[in-house]
Amino acid sequence: MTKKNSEMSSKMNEKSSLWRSPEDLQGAPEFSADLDNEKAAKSRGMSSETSGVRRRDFMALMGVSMAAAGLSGCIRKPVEKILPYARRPEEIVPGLPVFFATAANLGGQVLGLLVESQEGRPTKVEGNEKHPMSLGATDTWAQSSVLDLYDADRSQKPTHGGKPSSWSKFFNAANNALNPLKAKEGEGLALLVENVPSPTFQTLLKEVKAKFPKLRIFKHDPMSAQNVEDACAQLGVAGQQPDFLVDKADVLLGIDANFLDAGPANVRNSRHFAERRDDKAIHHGMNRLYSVEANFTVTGAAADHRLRVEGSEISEFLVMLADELLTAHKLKTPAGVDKSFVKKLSERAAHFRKAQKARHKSEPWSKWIKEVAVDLVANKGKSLVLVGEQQPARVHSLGLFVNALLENVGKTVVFKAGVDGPATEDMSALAAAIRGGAVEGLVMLGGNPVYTAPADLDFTRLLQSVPFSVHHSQYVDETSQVANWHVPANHYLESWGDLQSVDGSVAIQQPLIAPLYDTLSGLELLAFISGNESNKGYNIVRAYWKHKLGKKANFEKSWKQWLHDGVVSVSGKATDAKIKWTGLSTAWEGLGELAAKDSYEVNFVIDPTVGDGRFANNPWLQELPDPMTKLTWENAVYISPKLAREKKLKNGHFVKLESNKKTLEAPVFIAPGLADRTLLLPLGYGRKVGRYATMEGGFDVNVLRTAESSYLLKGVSLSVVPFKPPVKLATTQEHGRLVEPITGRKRSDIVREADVETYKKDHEVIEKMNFIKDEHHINSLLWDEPNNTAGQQWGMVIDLNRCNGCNVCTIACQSENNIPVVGKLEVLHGREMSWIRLDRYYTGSEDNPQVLVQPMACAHCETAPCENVCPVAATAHSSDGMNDMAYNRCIGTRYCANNCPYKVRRFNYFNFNRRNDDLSPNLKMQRNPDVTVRFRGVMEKCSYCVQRINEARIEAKRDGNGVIPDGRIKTACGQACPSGAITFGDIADKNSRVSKLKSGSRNYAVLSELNTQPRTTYLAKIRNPNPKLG
Amino acid sequence: MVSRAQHYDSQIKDMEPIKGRVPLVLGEQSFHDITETVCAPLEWKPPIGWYITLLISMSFVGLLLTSIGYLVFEGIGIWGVNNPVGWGWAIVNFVFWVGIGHAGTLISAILFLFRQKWRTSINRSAEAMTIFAVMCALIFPGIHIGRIWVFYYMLPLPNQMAMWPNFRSPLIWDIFAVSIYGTVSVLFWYVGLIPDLATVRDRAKGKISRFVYGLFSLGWRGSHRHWLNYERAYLLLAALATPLVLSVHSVVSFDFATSNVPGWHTTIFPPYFVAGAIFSGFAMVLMLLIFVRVIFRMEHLVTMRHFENMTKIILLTGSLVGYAYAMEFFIAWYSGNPYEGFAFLNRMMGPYAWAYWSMITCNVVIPQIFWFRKARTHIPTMFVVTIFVNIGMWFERFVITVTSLHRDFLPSSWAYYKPTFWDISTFVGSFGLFFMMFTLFVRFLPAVAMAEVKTVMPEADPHFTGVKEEPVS
Repeated sequence: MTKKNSEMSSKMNEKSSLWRSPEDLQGAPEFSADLDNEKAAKSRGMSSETSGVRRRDFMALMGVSMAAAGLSGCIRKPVEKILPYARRPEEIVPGLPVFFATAANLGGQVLGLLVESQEGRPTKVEGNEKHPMSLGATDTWAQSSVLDLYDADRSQKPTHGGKPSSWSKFFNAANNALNPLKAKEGEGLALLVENVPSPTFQTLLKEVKAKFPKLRIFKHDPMSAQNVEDACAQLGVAGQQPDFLVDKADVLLGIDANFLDAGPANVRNSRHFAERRDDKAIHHGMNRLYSVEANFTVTGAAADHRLRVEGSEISEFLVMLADELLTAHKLKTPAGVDKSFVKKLSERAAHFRKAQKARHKSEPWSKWIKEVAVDLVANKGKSLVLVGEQQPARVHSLGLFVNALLENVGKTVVFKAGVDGPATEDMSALAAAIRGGAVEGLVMLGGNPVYTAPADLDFTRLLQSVPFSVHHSQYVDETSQVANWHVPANHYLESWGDLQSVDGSVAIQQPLIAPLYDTLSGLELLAFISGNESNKGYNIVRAYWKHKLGKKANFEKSWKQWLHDGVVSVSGKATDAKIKWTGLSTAWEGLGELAAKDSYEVNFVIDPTVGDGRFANNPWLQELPDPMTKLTWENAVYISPKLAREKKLKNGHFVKLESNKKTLEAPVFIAPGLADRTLLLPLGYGRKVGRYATMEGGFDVNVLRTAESSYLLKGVSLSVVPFKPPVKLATTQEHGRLVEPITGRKRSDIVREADVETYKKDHEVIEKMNFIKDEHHINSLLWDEPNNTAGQQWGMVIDLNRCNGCNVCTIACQSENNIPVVGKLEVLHGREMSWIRLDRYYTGSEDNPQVLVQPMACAHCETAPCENVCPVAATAHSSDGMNDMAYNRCIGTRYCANNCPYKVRRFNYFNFNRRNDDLSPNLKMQRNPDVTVRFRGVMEKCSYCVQRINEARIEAKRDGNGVIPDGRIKTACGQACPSGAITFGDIADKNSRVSKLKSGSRNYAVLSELNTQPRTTYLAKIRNPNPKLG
Repeated sequence: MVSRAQHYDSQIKDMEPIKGRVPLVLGEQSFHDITETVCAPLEWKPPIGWYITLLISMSFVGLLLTSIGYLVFEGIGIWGVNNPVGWGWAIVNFVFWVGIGHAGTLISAILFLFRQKWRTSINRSAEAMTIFAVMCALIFPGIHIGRIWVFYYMLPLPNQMAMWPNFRSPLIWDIFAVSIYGTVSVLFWYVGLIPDLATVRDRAKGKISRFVYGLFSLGWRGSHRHWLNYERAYLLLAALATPLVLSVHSVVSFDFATSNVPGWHTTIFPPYFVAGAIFSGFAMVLMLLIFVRVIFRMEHLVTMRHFENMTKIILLTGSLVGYAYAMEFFIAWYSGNPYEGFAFLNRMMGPYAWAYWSMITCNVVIPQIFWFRKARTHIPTMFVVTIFVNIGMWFERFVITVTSLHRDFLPSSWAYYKPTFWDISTFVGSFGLFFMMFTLFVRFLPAVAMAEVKTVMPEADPHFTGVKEEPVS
């Protein structure tokens, strides 16, 4: 980071003095015209020319191409204006990026961020190392969020009944409608908010509530940990939140918990989990993860043992485990647990065990539960039971109970004070209130309830019946179209705010740019509702903290420090949570049942790429493959291979799901590892607005959801739709097994894996996995070995034991290196452009496989096969050992790609970058000015972020002896990686981190027998299975 | 009533081998008769069929130009090539056409050096075919690159970047090999044409034709000095062209053989490619001659003996190719290289097995029918076999190019390749170009080397005492 600027100028608040682009500064009409013209561009879409040829097009082309020969000399270049600075803005050196610290709440996770700004234009998001939830890394949503800033579909002005309006008209209308309600202490006035863990926002909300006591506040956010919150309320610790410390646990049990890739702390969890599996940990205390889940998640893939159970049986597993701990291990129950609950658990467990025995003639889980219990008990106080966010509150309560049994509370589970806000009601309560006529004015701050609310609430119709409704959001989305008023919201990079993480740490959210459009932040709109129309976000946040800090402290100094560091307090104090276990008893009435034999269960999941739909208009995320199924651009009904065999279904065949008289017809996609009778439906697709969200779309699964069963739906009937032609679903990986077809030969040399005991006994086990064992092929080289040893030599190590396949590297690379998206059709053609991809391989049986992931990018081979075949020497070796691409020299023979054994070279089959621009012109504002935007017809691939190396080299030459210190250069993928799996550095320096990792016995090169001598090597995956579980 | 073809063909059957070899020119023709026969198409008003053929082929050329125009306009993405399969039909077609372009120079140069006199009546058209095939071939490497407008980066031209092309790249070798082959083939063909062009010039009636033929016959007067120089030049060019016949396809095979892709990286490729090229080239020549000799009434010049000789070469090279296929498999197993072993099994049993078995059937099984003399002298059989051989040889290149690439080292990047409309239209269009050129050739240039044919007639023998026979009407 070249510069971390202390503070943005306070002028930032005066909108009028800021500009959005050089054109805007000059008031050029083209700027706004551009934004409007995009509808025309949309019709062009990302359609491919290979899809078919229409007769008229063909004839036209025939004529044109005949005429083209004669006209080719007369092309006119478009007129393009550039504007120099008349007066240079302070602190901006053209060409040098500036970094600002901020924070964002994306998909329920609050991350401290460091955002790169190029001459006032935010271009890249990085994690803030000082922020304890980020630790310098990010997740996919943070990486891609910068693109949303420039999204051309963002709402630019208020609309009334779908027609453009203005803020002043809105304020008048709102005052007219709301003032009578306010006069009645807020009776009839309702607020619908998202989960906003912001101290300032919640305080303001409390003030509003205090001012208008009869005002009702509702909360709806599918991506918040609402169930955890409810569990805390159940156990009498409302307002507090548990923080699960993955790094302190030796044995972890995940109950449907995808804690490495979802939830409020997945970035930190990934880092902490990985740190317990590095070389040191392998020899001294590697952790062990058991995962119990229905769908195959990233966490399940990282687990040492994964138990595949039907969605509805997951909670029973926890019941039986608790029973085992209580009866077999006689663990002491925490104080306040009534005996009847223990008995109830026992009964429930016995009942379920009996049912299992009756159906399966055996107890499939008994060994698992026994061994897991033994392992957990042996690690009392150093174990951790995690429950997935989509599990109902009572399962979370029971999870906390098990943690308490294992004496983990206060050690691996600590309670932190949550953000202090007013009590809220849920979506069902809002529906009931509207139905009862109790809502006359509804203000929705964010969210998209018309799309995300369970279908049985019929929220669309209810919203229409509200006399005055306002929706404040970044897009004119499904909800905005139904509400009377829509008012545009800021992007987080345009807003002032503050955010608290699940561990209690607080960060200030400072804007990187003045609002691009005429928008307000949620904080500012809330201030208006409280009657404080003119208050700016900046003043509100400052006022809150000034008040909080008290009169004595030097506020200005602290404020500057906070903005500089990006954090106010590193972590909240652990609270002494007085849990009232009596709440458990009432939550666990009744007996558990086996999953029904004749019907199916649907598990709804927050999509790992587009979330609950809020990220659906981000083209990077749309094209980002699902981490497990590798599906892009749409969702599908994921089914188990067994179900596919039973019903003779293949990928893309249509099925009809029916539940509660609601039906859904959608294509299936086979997902190995899914529980046999569970159907997996990802949320977030089938949106109705947004050029990227609707481009391919997928389907909306909310139609099947009900308020009661928002994540698990039982008793679904499934029928195959006859005669409907199957659709092609665009996956980026067609072959996912490490076994050669025809020969049946195992290819365990590609992703090497060993269990920890084997590895400890024989360190050479990894090397022994070479595909071709004898090495005569290396001894009989025709040519001299390349000798790249002078100066600094770059190399990379990817630790497969740390990597969990979360996809962040792919998006970080896309953001850093101006990689275009190609659209579904081109993904189907195998032309996706990602420079770093994640290969996912299934091993073991099809029904219950294990998964191995391997990030694959250009390995910068010492003897690169791509280099000698290029006829024009467009790809050549640099003196520091990298395989460089000279785009301007490349003529596109694609010979290099053919000859690359790793198949990491990407060809611009079309002018993808221009297609992206045509479709959404503003997105090019995000581009990194240090990286060439490639034209069609040239090859591209990972460059080891050569622009970052050069930047560091310039700095080293200017400020030092020209030697770049170890750790100074971080590739975009390595910097963003939450697990810290990617290490980059100087391999000529024997003391560099990368050299040390390479010297270990886990280090291996993929396809080493080809003697390509890749600079990127891998550290083998070591699993830590329980020997007793086999 | 017997046709001309049947008449002449029956003469061959009736010949007694003991009396000597079957004459190369049947029907006791005089030198003048030869001139008349060969020049006739140049001086006739062309039949309506010629116009129709030309029109059809030109419309396919239009398709070719459209396809190329659209390709330049949109990009390589209009084809079916994808990430693992970076080379598709364009390269398949290139190798296919280069292969076709082998027979001509082989017939002209190698058979000339070996004094195979039967070559004389077919060498002209075979050479023409070679040149047209090389023209078609050269289109493909030209248009298959991503940035066609900087094609010249591949040429060793002085430039402001002060950069040579990469001489280590087989594609550069290709450029040299194919362009040298093309140049020498054109020169060889043209030198051989000069005496005949002079004959045509002498007979030409129109002003333009007199001028054009006059220009290109380079003042040939048939003097002894001319003949002396001509014969020397022709011999030298033949000697020069002979190694090129072998080198060009060897170099083309290096594109594959020097890479590291399993299925490409094999040392057998150069001889195997040359054999395959001759195989397909002869099949193409044979196919064309079957038409030419009937349409232009040259049954007495292009006789069944020629056809039989050519079928024998097809049988030989077809068997060589079959041997190469077997050898590839043997080496894949014998080398112990698991990648190669998989690549070959995958060809046989993988997703492209249909292409592999089409290739084997067309190239190895079907030509075996030529062990029977009946098949070797039966024109419909010959015609069908040549079609199969050409299809089979196209599939051979497809199998090599695509099946090797679609499943190489890492299973994660495996994918299936499918051509698009534009792949097909470009290929079909290249046939249009080929046939258009050939149609124009038979109309405007002597399709048979008159001067050479005359030298192999009995009259050319100093001891000729033969009696003339009445020509057949």
